Amino acid sequence: MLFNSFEFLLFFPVVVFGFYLITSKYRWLWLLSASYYFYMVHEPTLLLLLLISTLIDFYCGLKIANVKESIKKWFLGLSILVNIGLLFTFKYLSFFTSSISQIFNYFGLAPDHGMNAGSYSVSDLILPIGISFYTFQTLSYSIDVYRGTIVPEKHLGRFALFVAFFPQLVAGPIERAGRLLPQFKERIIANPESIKKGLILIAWGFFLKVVVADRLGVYVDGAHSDPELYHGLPLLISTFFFPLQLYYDFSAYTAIAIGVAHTMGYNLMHNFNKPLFATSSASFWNRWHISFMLWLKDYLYKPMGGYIVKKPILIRNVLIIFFIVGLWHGANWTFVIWGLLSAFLLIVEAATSRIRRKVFSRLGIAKGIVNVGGWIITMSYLMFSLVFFRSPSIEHALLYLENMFLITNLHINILGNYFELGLCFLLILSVQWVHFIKGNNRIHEFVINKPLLKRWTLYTSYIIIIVLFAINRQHTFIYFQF
Amino acid sequence: MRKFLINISVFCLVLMGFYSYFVHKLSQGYVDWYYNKFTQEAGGLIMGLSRADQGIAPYILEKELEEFDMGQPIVNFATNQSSFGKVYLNAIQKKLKGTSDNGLFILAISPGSFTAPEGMGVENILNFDKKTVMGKINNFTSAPNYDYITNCYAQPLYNVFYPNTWQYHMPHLSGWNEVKAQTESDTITKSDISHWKSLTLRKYRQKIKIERISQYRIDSFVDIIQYLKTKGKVFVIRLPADSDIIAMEDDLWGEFDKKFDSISKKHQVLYLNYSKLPNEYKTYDGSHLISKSAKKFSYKLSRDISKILKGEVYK
Repeated sequence: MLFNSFEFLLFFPVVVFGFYLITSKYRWLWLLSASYYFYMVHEPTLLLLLLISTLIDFYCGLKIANVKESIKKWFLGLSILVNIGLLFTFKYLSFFTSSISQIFNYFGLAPDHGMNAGSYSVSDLILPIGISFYTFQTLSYSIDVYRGTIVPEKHLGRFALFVAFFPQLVAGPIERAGRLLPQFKERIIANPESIKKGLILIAWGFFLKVVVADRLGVYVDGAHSDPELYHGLPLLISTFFFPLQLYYDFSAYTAIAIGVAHTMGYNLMHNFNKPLFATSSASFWNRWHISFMLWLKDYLYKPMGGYIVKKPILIRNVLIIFFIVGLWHGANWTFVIWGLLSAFLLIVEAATSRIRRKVFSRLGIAKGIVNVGGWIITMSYLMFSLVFFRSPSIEHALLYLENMFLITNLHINILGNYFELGLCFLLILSVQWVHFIKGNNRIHEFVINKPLLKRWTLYTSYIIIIVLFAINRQHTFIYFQF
Repeated sequence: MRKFLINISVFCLVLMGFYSYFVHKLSQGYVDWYYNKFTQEAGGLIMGLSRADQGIAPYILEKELEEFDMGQPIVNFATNQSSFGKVYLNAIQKKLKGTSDNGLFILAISPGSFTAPEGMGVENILNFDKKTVMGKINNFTSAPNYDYITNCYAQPLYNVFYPNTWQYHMPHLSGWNEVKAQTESDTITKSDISHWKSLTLRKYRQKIKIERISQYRIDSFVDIIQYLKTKGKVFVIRLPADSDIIAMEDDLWGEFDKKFDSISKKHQVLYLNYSKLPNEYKTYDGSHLISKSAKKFSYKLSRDISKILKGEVYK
């Protein structure tokens, strides 16, 4: 079910009302049923994968805690094997088989199938929504139990809810069992302030999605639909818009997820901390998709040696991590290239930090100027590298980049609507201003405890803006596909 | 808590009221290019892709074939997203009057109606089709069609204040989208039309690189024929287009005409191929007929069907 759908507008109040009407003891059952329903609306059969993942990890968690040290790792291995196996089969198998087939084709070793045979094949596997998110979440549970940082959950229902909790099931934030499971045991009483906070976050998320992100998406889709047709400025503007579209889209989802959880008294992790104000690549990755980057840091980067390794090893580790970051986003070489490009800037930044500091201090350049320069470089690099992220193929991305610098005329209005284009820039400035003042997580402070007149003026303006300016594309959130 | 619940209820009611008002207001005027196709029950249908959407005028068929007392209204139910598949079949079933048994059904085909992205399996094609206009809505027949507006209208509702006035495009209530772009006009020159044709050719070339003929779509096409045969007379046609475009389509699928001639014969319907008529009909972009030619073609098609129904030809 999409957050930005009419079904959700009916589903959400029913779940919240039901939640508060049911006694604490049975709330897990209510939320679990709601979560499974939420997931099944998209594709009922895929619930089976979620159940397999849940049961295996629940069983492995209990076993890890109750068997001898030497056997523990076998159960951890089973959990990893099943989860990564499912992820690989449903997300990457088609990609790997087609990549291998392309290699064989290149050497003239395989026939070229010009026609889809119509029979079922690897290409028929549907990508289960949210598989990358819940797989990482359940894996973190098994690893934490293995490391002894948490005790295994003995209540299957509550554990199943941890895996399937609907606000964050399909696009995160990737929660940790140590944070979320204890919350499911708490006795939550309806608190209007917390519900208000949640509703304001939800409203903000809807605004970001349907008014801002989807509007930018119209321009970006237009430019990417035919990079051969457009040259220069439209492609540059689209390159500027896409990171913003991606960020607003994803932070909209996160705001709604956190807001929905808030209305029921649960606190989810924050995923963003003003990433577009980052003045370096390292700072950007500390502020962007925080739950995922922390996951990689805790379960991959640190076990590989963390920061206390020799430089060549550090470079190798960063490349591996960002190869995974790229591949996690999608089964396509374009994502891998984007990941490696991101790693490249990080490595260059780390390798030159000492020299840069020395040069700046010798030239007497103020910190503020250095930060502005760092921000411009970081954002420009992000925008250009994301061309690969957005493109369906490497050829498309290269053609796009090539044509982007061919400024043959100053025609920018590819949608035939200057008002909409102007509105895009106005909305970007407004949202960035709000994020600059309040960050991603304190939006409610604009409304809560303000005078009645101010509040209702804001509510009324919100209604007018949402109704008249929303782009009704009913597009899934970009991160749904990952 | 009570005050909070009252406040939130007022907020939701105002939001819903405001939204409903503007959706309704929009439905009273021009909505978009395809809206008129989804606002009436049909007695007969014209199906296919955009070439059929712009190339066949239902009112001409209704007028010219009046004597056969065929199901009316005939609706142009072709869009640029309606490739043959289960989703389109489902939409057709919902679009037709339940009592219809003497309808006229024109299935316009071209290789593009049977393609899907390379490597895409049946389940994924089905999911892909569900995201098109035919798959997004359940209601294909009511006026106003709020289901269409809330699910398919992709523009902001402030457009209510700025109704579109099209200079070259006239959407008819029967679903036909008449395109009046002609070189006689002041603003559209011959070079514009040649530029548009080059864009169409390039688009086709790009499509050929990533799409392949799908057996699933061919099977679905047969299912559609079989269903429609229970509801009236079915004709499979291939519309005229620029010779360069047809040549490119033939490159993609050399045996196309032979294949559909054979399918039509097998299922006892007629395949009328107009694709090779030398420059009788003008397009504005190589693929889509301009208004004058669309009318001329609709008359030609009506006359041919009339002769067939009278048993004068194809016996």
